[in-house]
Amino acid sequence: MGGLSLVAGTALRRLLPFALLVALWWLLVWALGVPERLMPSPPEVAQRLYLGLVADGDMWTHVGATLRATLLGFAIGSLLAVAVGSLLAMSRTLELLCYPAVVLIQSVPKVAIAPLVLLWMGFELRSTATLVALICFFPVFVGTFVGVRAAPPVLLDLFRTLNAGRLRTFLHCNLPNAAGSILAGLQVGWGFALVGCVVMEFITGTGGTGFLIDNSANALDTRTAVAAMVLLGVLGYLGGSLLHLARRRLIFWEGDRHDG
Amino acid sequence: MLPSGKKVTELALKDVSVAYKSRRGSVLALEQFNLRVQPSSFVSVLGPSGCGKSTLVKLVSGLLRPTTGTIEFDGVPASGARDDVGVAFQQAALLPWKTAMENVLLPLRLTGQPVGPAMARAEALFDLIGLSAFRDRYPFELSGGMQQRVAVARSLIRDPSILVMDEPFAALDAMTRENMMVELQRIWQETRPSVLFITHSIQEAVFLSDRVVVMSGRPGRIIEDVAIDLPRPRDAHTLGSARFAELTAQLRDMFQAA
Amino acid sequence: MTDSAYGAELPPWARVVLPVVGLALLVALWQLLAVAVVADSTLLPTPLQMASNLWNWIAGGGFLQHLLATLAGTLGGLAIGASLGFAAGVLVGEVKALDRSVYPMVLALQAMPVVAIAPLVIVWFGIGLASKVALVAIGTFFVMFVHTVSGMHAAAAELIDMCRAFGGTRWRIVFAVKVRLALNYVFSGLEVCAALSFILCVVGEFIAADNGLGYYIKASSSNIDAAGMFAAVAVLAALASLLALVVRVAHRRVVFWQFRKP
Repeated sequence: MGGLSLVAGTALRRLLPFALLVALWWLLVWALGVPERLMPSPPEVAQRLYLGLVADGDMWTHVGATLRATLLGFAIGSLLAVAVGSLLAMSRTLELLCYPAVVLIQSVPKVAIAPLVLLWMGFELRSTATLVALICFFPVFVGTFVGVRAAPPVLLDLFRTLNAGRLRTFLHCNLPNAAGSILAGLQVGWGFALVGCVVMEFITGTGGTGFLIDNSANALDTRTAVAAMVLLGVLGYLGGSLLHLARRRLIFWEGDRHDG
Repeated sequence: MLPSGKKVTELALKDVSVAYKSRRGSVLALEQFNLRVQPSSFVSVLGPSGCGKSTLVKLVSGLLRPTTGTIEFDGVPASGARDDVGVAFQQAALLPWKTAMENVLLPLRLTGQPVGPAMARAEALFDLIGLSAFRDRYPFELSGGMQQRVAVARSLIRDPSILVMDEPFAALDAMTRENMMVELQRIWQETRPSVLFITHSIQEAVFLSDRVVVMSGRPGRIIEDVAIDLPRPRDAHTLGSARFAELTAQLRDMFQAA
Repeated sequence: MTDSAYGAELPPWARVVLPVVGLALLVALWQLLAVAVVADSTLLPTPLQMASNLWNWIAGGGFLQHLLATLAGTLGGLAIGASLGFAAGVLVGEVKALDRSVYPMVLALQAMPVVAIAPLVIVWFGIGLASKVALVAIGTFFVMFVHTVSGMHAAAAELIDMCRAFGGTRWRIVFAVKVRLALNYVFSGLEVCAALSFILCVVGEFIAADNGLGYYIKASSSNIDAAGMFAAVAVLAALASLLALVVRVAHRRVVFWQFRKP
């Protein structure tokens, strides 16, 4: 029974900042007399959310579109990043050869090529997923590369005394050791992924929470816009929490680490 | 009981020189080094920091090739790491994401050997190191001394005919060191591989070995080779004996002169 | 010894030659794609076409208007947002009551990507420079705020006690000690802001602007002018890299003690 109240206590503590935020928002809108066309109040947004998710359910298609594109792009981009990061980390030759390409990828702000991706791939889901994959590639790549290279030298020596080849060493030593760094990269990548998705939805205008925000803001329907932002925040929070949990579970040997 | 009647091997380093490239040019870590470890004998190497002791370990364990000279196992020159050599480093070097048992079995998994037949030996080894109750614990749940014991068990899992140990107790506190020293002697009595043991503790060297080799500073050369005639099996009582004190004093003088 | 885990020890000249070879391979691959695979210069210009297009654009002059518009939005917003974020961060980091209440609220906001507010900012400030500056300012404000408060938290307590023992008013201590220790975090925050500011400005230009590099990219997309897009993206990449470099150099200069090798 003590465990249950502990969980409830933690949940309440987690929710408190959000509750305070909503309270502050409500107070400011009311006290400063902000008109609805500039900023809606919390009850108005809550009402719109209820309408969009429960009564009418018109927001679900957009949430679904964003989730599909983001998850697809995130999966592809992350897998590629882990593969490329691992290859480059395990071979100094490959690392040096690909160095210019990496610098190039890093220096271009990925959102800037969204219209280019649109031009090449059209207005469908695949262009959104492509931009998401491109944008989350780099943080996951860095996490993988740094993690794989950070294998403790004494462990690498151990594997050499056992005549383990490069592949075996990678699978049994470098990769498990890199898991923490890779997951940290994934956490950053998830945030970037949502950015990429939203931006692409801004300019394609075919659906998703980004479209919802832009379209309704244009029509001065700030209720819907802010409601969509809240949904986006929820998606971001859920993904981040899942990854955080995964990290705690998988990297069990490092104990409780507190980092963002 | 561990299986007896296994292959025993003589280790020989012949005219071995190792040169490192550094900013100031070539540095000789070892020069025309000759050492023979007879089968089933325990040889300690004592020497100051930088005399090339660690280089010896790297040579025998296959991490390093000699610039000149050969390393021979039963007269056959070796190249690279071998299955019949067990290695223990200064750090326990256990995989943190695997249990103690999985760590001990690692050499078998990495060389593609079946684990089943070795389980009996693994369990016997855990008995030997006194950690049977901790087989399924993870390294972060074990103390430094316990981790080092698991590392020693790992070095023995393939029943090596040669064991190389690079100051394995250096990172432990004094009391644990003494315990480990006595334990290692006991374990060695059971399995009797040829051992090359690197240390800078005179007490360890005298207690454990049949021979103690004293090395000089860089480039490393052997300046003394002392036979230790203390009776076996040795235990805590041996530490208090007069002969033990004599030998340690003798070596201390040689060591100061090195 | 452990180098062999990552491949044979490379000769020193390889460290220079291999990247050059890599770059050459990259350009060759691009050329191949442009000519043999896509074969449509409006969709993918060859490296040469892109270079000449970029040159013409810069020399021609239409480029300047967009460059300045983006720079104004980015740097203006960054200056406002980062300085306000820093000031607010110092204040909140120092006043316990605010730290307990405001900081968790701001952290709770972090889950939502800040680009999402862009359309709303346009509603508030209309089309033009003001909304770009506002968007960049808001985004960089929150990043700087969080990093500054983090840094203040990390400032060692012992140093502060020592300072107190030697006298000095509270705010003197704050500035002399805490802020200096927090500087590493502050500059890390600034590095993030540098990248974020360009991103936000470009997004703002995507959805409602009549000039700027982002606007130009979007317009070129509608005109099926890939060469134009490439040119603008290249300029943007150069600007973002330059700003990142400036901030990183400043970071190492100001917080020099963090980077000293033992």
